[in-house]
Amino acid sequence: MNKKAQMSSPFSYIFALIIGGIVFMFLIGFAYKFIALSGALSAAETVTALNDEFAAFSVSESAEKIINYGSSFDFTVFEGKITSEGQSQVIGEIIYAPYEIQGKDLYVATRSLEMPYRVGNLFYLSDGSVIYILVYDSNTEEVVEELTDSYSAIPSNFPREAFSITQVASNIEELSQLTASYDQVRFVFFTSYDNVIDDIQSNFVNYDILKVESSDDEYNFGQVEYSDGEEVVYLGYPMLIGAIVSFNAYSYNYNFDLVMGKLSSVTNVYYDKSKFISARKPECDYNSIKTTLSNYKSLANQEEVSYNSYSTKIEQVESANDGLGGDCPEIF
Amino acid sequence: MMETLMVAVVFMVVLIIALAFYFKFSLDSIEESGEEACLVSNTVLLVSVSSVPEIQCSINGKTENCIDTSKLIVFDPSRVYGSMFTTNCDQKVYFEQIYPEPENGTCDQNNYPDCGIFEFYDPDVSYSSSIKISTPTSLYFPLTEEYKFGKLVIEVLL
Repeated sequence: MNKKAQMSSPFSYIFALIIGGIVFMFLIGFAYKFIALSGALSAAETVTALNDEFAAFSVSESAEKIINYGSSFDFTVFEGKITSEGQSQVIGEIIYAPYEIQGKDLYVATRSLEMPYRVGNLFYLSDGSVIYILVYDSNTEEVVEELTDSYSAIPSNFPREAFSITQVASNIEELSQLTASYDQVRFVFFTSYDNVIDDIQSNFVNYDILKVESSDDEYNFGQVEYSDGEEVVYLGYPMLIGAIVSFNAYSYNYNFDLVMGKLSSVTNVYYDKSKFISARKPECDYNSIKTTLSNYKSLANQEEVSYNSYSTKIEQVESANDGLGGDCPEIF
Repeated sequence: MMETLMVAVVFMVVLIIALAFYFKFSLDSIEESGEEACLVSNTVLLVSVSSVPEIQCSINGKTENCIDTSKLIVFDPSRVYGSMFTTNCDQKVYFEQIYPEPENGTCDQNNYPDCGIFEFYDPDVSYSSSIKISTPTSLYFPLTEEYKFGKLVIEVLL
């Protein structure tokens, strides 16, 4: 008996150690997978909840909201996808945002885009870490006023200020102190910044500059130049706000293509509606609206079109629709 | 040796049974959360569908809170809004005229406007049961410039 016990005991210990090790490794692996699953579920819930917020928000033509998540969140917004902790979800909305959003409060806003009929809603996200400084001169003062204090203004829950170029030139140090609590300062110039660029460079660390230009007095259509020299076209204030909020030209242009896709889809519906109504109302002349809608639809599918072309086409579509009425119902 | 082996085997069997139960309950809980998310999303959809620009009324250049039935007739949402309806679960979406009571059933370009049901989205999938949620809506007929009373119905397919 003793001999048997002496021989089997070390073997039993080794055997128990191996089995114990396997069970231990299994449990550790299980714990890690459980943590990953919990994280994935939580991220998926966050993204789904956000998607629902957008859907509910899309009912409104203009709305703003601050969502407090209670705990810290951290996600990226890129190419129509929100990614949190490795979990990505495609959002079926057009969202302009900085690349990374983190914090406890999420600033959400929406504006309806009309060109000339409603095309859809554009959404804007911010975590409040970037302040937008709009700079104007005497020619663009009203435009900036419209962008800061009207129905189509930059969301009021986004940090933003407006100053004249003279104020910026004479109070650059105060401006630097005023914006010191933000991670980044984005200057949006509606005038030339040649006289203040040196002061900005010497007083601000984390900043970038956008330049807005337009041949239209009201700046309804125009182009925005980013810090890296890339230029983008905007069509209406909601898209201009999108350009201001977007982190770079690539991100903005991705959404621009989505807007054009939506415009094409909505225009196609109005074109089909004009054909349908025209067939039911042979006594009415719908040729003009059908032609202009068809041309407008083609323009929306083209690449690298100037903002003046859009402006002209929108006027033509509006004019053709205004020519209808009475017994011949308008198309939009 | 045999005793150790038996203890290990019994321990593993008990562990596997415990984990199987745990996974089953976890899976049930996740499925329940999924169904809950599906219903929440569809309730939100019920509100947001009416503001889709492809079907929303635009009269004299201004958007109105009604559904343009002529747009419903010409628009196929599956080309543009496929992803909107397949986020969490499948659903059918349609508009139903309630008053005046319509004579015919599903609308198309031939029987419009003498019809009662405007199909908006149908995923064409098999399902065992469904939950219907609906909300009242105003249906606009541009040919006669009339508004009729209707409802938007979302049938969540389970």
